[in-house]
Amino acid sequence: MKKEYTLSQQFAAVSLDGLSCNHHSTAKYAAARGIAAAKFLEELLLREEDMPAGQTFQKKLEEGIAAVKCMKKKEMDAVEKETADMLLVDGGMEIVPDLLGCDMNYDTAGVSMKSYRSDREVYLSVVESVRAEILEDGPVTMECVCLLWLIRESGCMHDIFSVREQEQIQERMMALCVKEDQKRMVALCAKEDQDRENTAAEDGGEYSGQELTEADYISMIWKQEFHKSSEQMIKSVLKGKRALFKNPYLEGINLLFPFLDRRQAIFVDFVVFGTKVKDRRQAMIDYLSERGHLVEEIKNGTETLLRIDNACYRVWPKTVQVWKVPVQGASLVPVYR
Amino acid sequence: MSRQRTMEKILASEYVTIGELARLTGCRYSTLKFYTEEGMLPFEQAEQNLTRRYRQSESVKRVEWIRAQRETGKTIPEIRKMLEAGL
Repeated sequence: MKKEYTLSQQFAAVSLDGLSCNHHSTAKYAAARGIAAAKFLEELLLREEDMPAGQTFQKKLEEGIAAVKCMKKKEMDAVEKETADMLLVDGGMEIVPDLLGCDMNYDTAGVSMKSYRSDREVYLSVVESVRAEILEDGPVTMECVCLLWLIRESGCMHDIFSVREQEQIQERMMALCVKEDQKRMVALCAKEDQDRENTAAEDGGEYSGQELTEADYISMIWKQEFHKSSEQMIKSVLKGKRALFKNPYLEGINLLFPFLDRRQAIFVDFVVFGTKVKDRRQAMIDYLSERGHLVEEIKNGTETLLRIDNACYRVWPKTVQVWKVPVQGASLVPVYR
Repeated sequence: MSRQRTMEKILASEYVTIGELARLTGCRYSTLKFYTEEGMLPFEQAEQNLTRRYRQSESVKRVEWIRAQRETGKTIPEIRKMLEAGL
């Protein structure tokens, strides 16, 4: 990615990818709120030369996030459209037929659906730089923390990080906050010893009247939440199921962070004479390619997955019954990291 | 608070981090890490606990070269052998 994209554009390239552009969904609203939050952070953190200190920063941040949380549907639509249009003009994103439209039921009903598809180079560049920065030892930039927080809040974590990586991230973020927090506390104690009249307690705030450290910013941002309570409820239900789902077959499903189902399994009907797996897979590739999708085979150990646009799917042979008539075909099931 | 370097600054600098290399090449982080661990992508590390840094132009060229070799159908062990032989 040789071109520079703003925080909101980078986040939009990740969160809007694969989502329908002419239908509303919880995932799309979460993405729109994330874009609005990214725009707010751009103003507060990344553009202001003199960032507000202490309590002022915390107050501004909380007010901004509260405003994002209360956004109306029309406002969310406007934010999504504005950012998506900029990316579309720029070539960072395009509108393609929705994969869901390839499902037998949608296809035979003549339903036309369109979805956003981020440019592969832009998508990979954003995602992989965040992954490298947070999973690799070394300094973490403010942009990375912001992107990670936006990804967490909009329920995209499971698309980008495996369960193991998510646990690593959780530990890393805790360490980043605590390590610096301890430093701050030691400094604060030393200051208290020197001058007991000027303690932080008198100022009445956790971060009041003091110069914020890197960890304070990280900690303040990481603590904020803008996902809706309904999404929170889904998260808590799924949290309860976490132990149940943690097996070798479903361990890729993220249940540590807010989870939003951004992709669906689809069924495509076709009859391929002979029952070789490769033939069925090739039939699926041909069918999807004809409909404007970028499809390629990826080896994953002994099995072969399909990368359709920017996401991975597993092909399962399947027969469904329509009015007692068996229809042969294959199912595309989303695969998470 | 440390900030992400702009593309202009990254292109002008001698050394880059693995994240910046991912941005420059569009290569996956896991792939770059694998190349590094396989000794196919040279890096410098001042001390054991410090971040690995890569020479910008050399690393970009190396990643592109490996990618080109992969496209011709060569396997990783074959590419590694070619690098060891100094081809």
